[in-house]
Amino acid sequence: MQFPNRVISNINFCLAILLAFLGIFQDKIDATPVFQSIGRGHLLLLHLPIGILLLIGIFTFFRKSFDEKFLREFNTTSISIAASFALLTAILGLILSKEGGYDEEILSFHKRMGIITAFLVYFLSFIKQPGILFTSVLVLSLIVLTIGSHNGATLTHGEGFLQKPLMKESVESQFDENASLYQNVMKPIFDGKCTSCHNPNKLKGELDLSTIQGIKKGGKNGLVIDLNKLDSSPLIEKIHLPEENKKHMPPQGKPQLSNDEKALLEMWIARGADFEKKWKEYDSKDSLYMAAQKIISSTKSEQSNYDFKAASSTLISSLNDPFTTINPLNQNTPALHADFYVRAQYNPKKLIEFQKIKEQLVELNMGNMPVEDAEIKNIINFSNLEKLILNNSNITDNAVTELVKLPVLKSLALSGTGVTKKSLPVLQSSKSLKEVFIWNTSITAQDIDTNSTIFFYTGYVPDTSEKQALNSPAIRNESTVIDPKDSVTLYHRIPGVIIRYTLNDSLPDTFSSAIYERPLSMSRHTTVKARAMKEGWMASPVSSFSFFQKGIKPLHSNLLIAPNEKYRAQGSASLTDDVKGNIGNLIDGNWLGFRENPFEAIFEFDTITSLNEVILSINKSVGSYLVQPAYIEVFSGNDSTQMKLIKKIIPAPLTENEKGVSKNEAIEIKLDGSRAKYFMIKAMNNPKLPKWHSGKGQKGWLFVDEVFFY
Amino acid sequence: MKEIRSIFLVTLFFSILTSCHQSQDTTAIPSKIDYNLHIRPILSDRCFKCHGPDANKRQGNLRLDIPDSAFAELKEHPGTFAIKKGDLKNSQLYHRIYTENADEMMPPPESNLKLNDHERKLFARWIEQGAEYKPHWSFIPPQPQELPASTSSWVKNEIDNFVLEKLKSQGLQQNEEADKERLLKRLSFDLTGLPPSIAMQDEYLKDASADAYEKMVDKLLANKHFGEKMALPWLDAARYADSHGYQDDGLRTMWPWRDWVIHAYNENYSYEKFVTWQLAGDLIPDANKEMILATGFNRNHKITQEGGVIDEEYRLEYVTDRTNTFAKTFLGMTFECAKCHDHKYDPIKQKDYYSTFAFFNQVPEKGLVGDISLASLADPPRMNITTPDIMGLLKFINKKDTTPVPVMIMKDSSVVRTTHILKRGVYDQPGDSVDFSTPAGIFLFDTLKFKKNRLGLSQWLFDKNNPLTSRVYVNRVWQSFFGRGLVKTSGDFGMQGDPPSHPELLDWLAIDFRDHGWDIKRLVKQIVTSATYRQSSVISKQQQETDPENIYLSRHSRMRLPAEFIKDHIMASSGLLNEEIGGPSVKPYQPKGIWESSTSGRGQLAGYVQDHGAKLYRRGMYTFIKRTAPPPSMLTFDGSNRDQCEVRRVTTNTPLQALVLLNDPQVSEAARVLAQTINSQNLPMEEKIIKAFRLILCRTPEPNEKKILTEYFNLEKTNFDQSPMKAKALLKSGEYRLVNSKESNADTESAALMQVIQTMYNMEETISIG
Amino acid sequence: MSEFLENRLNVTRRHFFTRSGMAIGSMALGSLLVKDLFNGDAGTALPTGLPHFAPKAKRIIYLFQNGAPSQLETFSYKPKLNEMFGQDLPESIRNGQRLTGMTANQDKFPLVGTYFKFKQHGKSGIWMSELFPHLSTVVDDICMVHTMHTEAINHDPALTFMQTGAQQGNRPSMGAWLSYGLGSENKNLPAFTVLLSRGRGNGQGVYSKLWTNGFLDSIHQGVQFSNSDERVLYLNDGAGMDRSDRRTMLDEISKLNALSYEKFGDPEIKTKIEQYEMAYRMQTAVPELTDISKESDQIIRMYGPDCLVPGTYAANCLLARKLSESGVRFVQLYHQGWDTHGNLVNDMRMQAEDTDRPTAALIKDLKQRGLLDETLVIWGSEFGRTNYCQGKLTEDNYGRDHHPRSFSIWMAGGGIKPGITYGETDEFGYNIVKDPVHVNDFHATVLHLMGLQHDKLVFKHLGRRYRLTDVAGQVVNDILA
Repeated sequence: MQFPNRVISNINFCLAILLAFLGIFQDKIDATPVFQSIGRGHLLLLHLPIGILLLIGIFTFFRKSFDEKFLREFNTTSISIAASFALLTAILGLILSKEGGYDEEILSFHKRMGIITAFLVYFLSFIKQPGILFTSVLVLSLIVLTIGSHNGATLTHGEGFLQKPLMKESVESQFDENASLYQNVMKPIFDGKCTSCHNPNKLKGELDLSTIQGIKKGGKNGLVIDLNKLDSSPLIEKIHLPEENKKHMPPQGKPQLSNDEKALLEMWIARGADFEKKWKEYDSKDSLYMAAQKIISSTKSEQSNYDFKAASSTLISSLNDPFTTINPLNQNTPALHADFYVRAQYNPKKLIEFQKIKEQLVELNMGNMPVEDAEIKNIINFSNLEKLILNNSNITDNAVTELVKLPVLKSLALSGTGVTKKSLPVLQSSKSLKEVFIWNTSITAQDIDTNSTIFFYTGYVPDTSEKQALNSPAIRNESTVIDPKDSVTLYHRIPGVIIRYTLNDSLPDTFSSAIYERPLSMSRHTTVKARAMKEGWMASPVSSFSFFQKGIKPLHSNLLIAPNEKYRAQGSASLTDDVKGNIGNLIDGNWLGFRENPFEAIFEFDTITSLNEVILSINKSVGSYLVQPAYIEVFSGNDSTQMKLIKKIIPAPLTENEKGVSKNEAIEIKLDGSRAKYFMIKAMNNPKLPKWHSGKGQKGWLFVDEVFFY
Repeated sequence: MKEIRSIFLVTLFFSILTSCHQSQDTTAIPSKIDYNLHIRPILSDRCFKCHGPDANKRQGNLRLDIPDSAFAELKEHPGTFAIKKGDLKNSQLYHRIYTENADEMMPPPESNLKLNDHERKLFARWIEQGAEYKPHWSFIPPQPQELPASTSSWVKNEIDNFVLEKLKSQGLQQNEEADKERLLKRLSFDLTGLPPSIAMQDEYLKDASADAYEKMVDKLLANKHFGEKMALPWLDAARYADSHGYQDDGLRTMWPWRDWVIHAYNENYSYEKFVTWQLAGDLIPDANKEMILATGFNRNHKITQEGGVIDEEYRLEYVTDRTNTFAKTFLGMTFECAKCHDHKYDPIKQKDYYSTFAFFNQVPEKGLVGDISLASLADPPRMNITTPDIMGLLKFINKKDTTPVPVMIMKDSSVVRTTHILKRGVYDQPGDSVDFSTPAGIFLFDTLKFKKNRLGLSQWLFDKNNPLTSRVYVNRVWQSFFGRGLVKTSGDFGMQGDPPSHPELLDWLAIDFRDHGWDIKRLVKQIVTSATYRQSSVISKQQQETDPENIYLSRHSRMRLPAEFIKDHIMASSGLLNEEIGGPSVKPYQPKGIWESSTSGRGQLAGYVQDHGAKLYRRGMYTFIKRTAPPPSMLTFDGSNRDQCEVRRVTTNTPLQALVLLNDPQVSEAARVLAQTINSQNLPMEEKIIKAFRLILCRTPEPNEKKILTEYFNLEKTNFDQSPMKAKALLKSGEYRLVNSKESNADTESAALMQVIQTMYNMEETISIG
Repeated sequence: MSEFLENRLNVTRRHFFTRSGMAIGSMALGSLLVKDLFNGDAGTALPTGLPHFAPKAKRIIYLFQNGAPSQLETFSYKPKLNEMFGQDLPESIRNGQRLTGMTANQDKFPLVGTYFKFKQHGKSGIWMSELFPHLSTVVDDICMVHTMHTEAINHDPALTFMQTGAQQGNRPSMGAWLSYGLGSENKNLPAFTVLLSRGRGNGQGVYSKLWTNGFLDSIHQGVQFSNSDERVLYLNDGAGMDRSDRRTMLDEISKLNALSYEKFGDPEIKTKIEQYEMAYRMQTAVPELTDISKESDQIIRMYGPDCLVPGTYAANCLLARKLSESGVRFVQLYHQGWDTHGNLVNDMRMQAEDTDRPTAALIKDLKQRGLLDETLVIWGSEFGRTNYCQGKLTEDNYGRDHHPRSFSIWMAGGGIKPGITYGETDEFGYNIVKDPVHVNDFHATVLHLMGLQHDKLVFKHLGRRYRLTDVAGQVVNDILA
């Protein structure tokens, strides 16, 4: 008794919630046809709870004459079942009520009675065993029930009621070789886009396009198809008017004709609007016929109506979990699709649970899940499965022999699995299969029979003749200003590449340059140039990184002449903050720019300090006038007011082949251990750009981001 | 048996619920239909689109928003009438809403709009009762209200009289006063955006005097952080940010204006002064620098730096932004709809839009001053804030160094720029010219009374007969204390907005606020001292079912803290908070690459340069807002991206929020620092846990809470003892180093305590005001 | 009695979560019937998490080429321009089209034909320039649209318009609308993710407004995947924490939260508990699929070596496939660097080099996994570029300014008619002569492909009903399969 009871009580719980929910929002319920016809199930179902309850009533009344154990057993189950039906009936009733056409007064009363009965019985199902409480509730519900069901009866309608809403679909004109082209194509178009207004009942504009006579007869503005002026029949004109136009048909907001449909209509009328000529009488090359073909094929793909019934939503939601999603394909279809996510969380048991929806499941995606052959047996019961994705699962040929048993399977994805060409004939044997994806399996294009009806997709296969260039190596270091003890780490993400590098500014070549094995230690200023290479690939372009060692920090730095006010950075502080500027962005807060005036800064050290070298880091972007200074002078002294020149250097002048250069350049000034508390650096920006330069004769800019002292 | 009873209750409640709700569908049509309450909302929502103020879109030249037209003979169907008072049979409206015929059905099927049965019945009865029209409630000036009598001892001040009255009418019971600890947390956050210190908690708990609570209120109202708390929503409305907003998105320095807002609230400037200065400070006779600074309000909008844009297109974009912001902030109206066509729902013609537009169209400004390479911190008109200024008049500005700070301000050009209606709102389609004015439907702009400039405009706002100004602000203040305005749609007092839940109370507050010199602190005090505010936030089943939104205030609504205050809470409770007020915005921890990956590579804000030291621990409202890449943790907690004026934040509840509180270094650092601080005191571990709990939850833990946390501590302790390296790694989080925390404290005990504290930070109660 | 009690207690205790789960499930179904539950907004179908009608595509990957690649160098072949090289654009053609500030004061508008060779490819014979050797191998899978047009002529408004349906204002972006309308397929990942990359050409920047939730719940906000090793912000547990430590902490947290739920009965608290669980699941799901250390040589060769370097376009294409494959509804890529006002020839070459192979690879990869038919791939930008030269004109170097009147985008996969060219521009490649597609039409079409009716996907905010397509939009039926 345990198991079924729990299941039923679970179901009841959900139903109760749902009923309450719909009850609360009933005035907002808005049932689609599918739901409507479900709703009409009310009339079937309602008799069951009544029956069962009466039965229970009888048993309880005569309980003396039964064995008590049996009675309890009986009650426990039958009442739960009664409850299920009662709740369900009420729910369907609510949906049904939305069809309208009932007497409001009686209806609302009936609703209330129904809901109360349902909940009473539900409550009853918790008491189960006989007793005062039990009997009283039972009696109560019976009373409410009789009242409710009485006026329910008065509401009910006549014959053919249940099927009604489904009729519409079934009427859908079926394609038929022997029918006329009009019947097959034109009529569906009229019915789809016109007859909602132009039908015998509505007769908008006194026009009826639902029948041949109607079309021939025309409307209050005369003919719609005028056989005297075929190419400009009113109908054609109307559909070609701009949509905003009041006379445009179908009216704005209503479903519009597609260009294909317009074209066809036009052609058909131009050909004299033939209502009789049979479909098969047309020549397959006939343009009209082809145009019609086009429409049919497109509408065919449109309608995918499934005849199996929908699974209960409670069931669906109970199957859903964080790693498995089951959903209807859209709002008005019973067809379901299911997807598995997160390989680490794959749970094979799910497939067994899915047996509950084996009829409704049409798409199943288990891509990247570790599905085993053994689990396939659970899949092959999905009698309506059309699409199945098993990419990168653990299945093999054995699975395939099972899978082809799926009766309507159209699309099967097996990429990255263990299937071999042994499976090809097996797959061929399938009646339904249209496409099979076998990329990244041992099967190659050659293995595939070229005139196969199934489309086998082998996907991308690397072309060994094509040599791609690798991408350049990268560095792990976050900054290019590093501690003397730090080293530089190069890396490349593609396994098995060799990195060759140089530290002397020369371009690393593919055979003799040093091979990178361990982190590199740097000198004060080093440019690392590196490239990656690997068998079957072209060597990468050179990547180049300019490293600076942190030097001795001055106590204060002070700019004697303010930089250009657009390029001030954080003032003198930026010069010694060990943060490099970005070559491409002169206002990133690290670059100090000088043009009108030279760069002149004085640096105070906490004590008398001996310096061997000063490095001036500049931005050399020749195209944008950023060039090396004309000369650099270094002064020193222990009193900032009395400094004497200790070094002057003149960097190599700008040459024409540096035209395109845009890089960070380090100007090194050797000082051979001169000792002082203050050092002053003056760098004169280039006063006159050379004549090959677009700005020839004008002043050059000097951009400095850092000054290092060693 | 207990089981059964509970089940029975559930069952019962379901059936009651369903059946009674249904009865609302059929029988609960109110005996007297009120136009404003029942009919207008439906009309406006489903009908005005085609039968409303907008002349261009009007169908069958019928408008239902004004009685004359509604009762007049239908032009297109002579002899018939849309509405015939008291005569259903001859009222087309009635037939049209009931017919099944697709051609006659109203609203027409293609509109995707529907009426439900209840709404149809309302219409029917309204017509039967004579179809009485009334002017829209919010356009009628607030009416003096009779104070509902009440003998209840629960009532603390007038607010409660109104609330209690409503509760009775709804058959609801008010809640008891919240327990002292939770009440204090609520009060402290609501007045300062910060948690109460343990000292405060103790003080308040000890104080048994009758006015203990009121003392606390006064204390907190005087607190320097009051201004910050009040400023936050104002910054949303004023779309304050630290960058220009479009594309390259350069740096701007409007923060001195932010300093002023905080200052103004702290000094308790009257709302009238507060607003007048922001709208028209520059036009006040011999205006001083402070008044002019205030006008920055209207320059906070986004400004483009994209090379090659068309100047006029963007200049007009800025004026548009000012106009919309003005309407939403001060009038609670959605003007923007009227930019391109007459408003569909409210009496705002396109003409009205542009005559209001005219006030803000006088600024000598350009659409594009220069592209990002110019790096303008403040486009003209601007004003420099110099060191002498902050020595004198502008003491409240927190300027860091001697370099002057440029701020954008308002200014009118000497010659009046004629404003044109822009056809379809397009900048190069000028139509007729318009004069300075405002929508007469709201309140006439009498040019004899008001100057034709922004100063006149603010006088218009604060005129006794302006129906909106006071209501709108009172409502927003109310919203910030109850999570929901008396008018829920605090940004839309128009036809489409929700009607007030307590119309009488709203009017009473509005008038009281106005007649007491627009005194903001007074208003706030009224609210927080009311019994309504002091209710506990426990939700009874009945309340949850009958009033889930807590419209009728039978309890205090639990609210999640705004993004900024979540950071503040964590900083304050861990002792890290830097209480400094105002100044330039700061750049705390932020995941790598947020700015870098979206930037064009140009401008000072191309890369995120994180600050260090004390700047990391400033209050959340000072976190740098780069509009094109706003601070992620703030956005995650529904902070504003400051793209446009916002008067109400939505509160969401997402997994990303969990991730922030679990992994943001800002939180783990706080947890670490607090753990080490507490652990360096010699207390028994249980005391330590209680102390942390009181700092974070602002109350002493219940026994079962204490039990859970202590057990968790022991668990983690053993865990770390087994792998001390873990503890080391954990205790590295964040840059802050405790001065005298014995490094031996980098031990497993602190680590375990840190985990416990992190757990506390992740409790739902921590970041909500209960 | 005892048996009965036991049974009940089990149900109440052990099954609490499954139960509340079911309850939620039933609600969900309820909301299927109760269309206008959410904000009581009568008459407009609000999201049920299900398509309105049978969708053609389940997911979207949108490869946004930020900065506007020139249609004349890529897909729109206009030999006439080469013939008339250097001649002035006839005023009759331009007739009054406004100009950006960059060319407004240019006195001549010399026409310039493309420097690159064009060729027809595949069975479909779709035209493509030599810049796309790889893309041209999959032309038969794509549908080329030559007649997109927009209203804005500057990047920011145009981009915002393309992504949110409005030039100004803080409207929800496309992805947010879809997340709102369809919800998320994979409950362990966000429904809307954003991947950013910057090419070597002239960049224009992107901004979070492009993936904002606007006035929708922030749950619909695009989640930006970063290029650091923490792909989703705040996803990684801090140092010293392993999964089990995290698990234990989460259990403690929910114990405590459960207590306060008992006290306050506020449903928000229960939600909080569930959100923490999802966060935990994200921490498992995301690393599993963002791990690129194990990619096969085959994949590396297909997407190119950069696909292993986070933050490159190639890497983002690969990641996009993985996310989409794992049920992420909308994957939005932005690739900067197409803004070729000058130096066009060189910049276009670099940009194409970086993007051609990965783009083609994405299509092939989806196809060979059987996913292309349910995934809609979109390649496009904010506007096109002028047929006349901006700045200095030489045989092998020139620039082009912004051009809103016509530009080319293409789509592939889910529900798109493959191997066709739609719409025609005049021989100057300036004006549209046949089948224009406005931005609103494009949005309507994309929503349609996802099974949503663009005029029914609405949200009421401050009294106005908003749509991605605002008040316009026609589905372009002729490009639907």
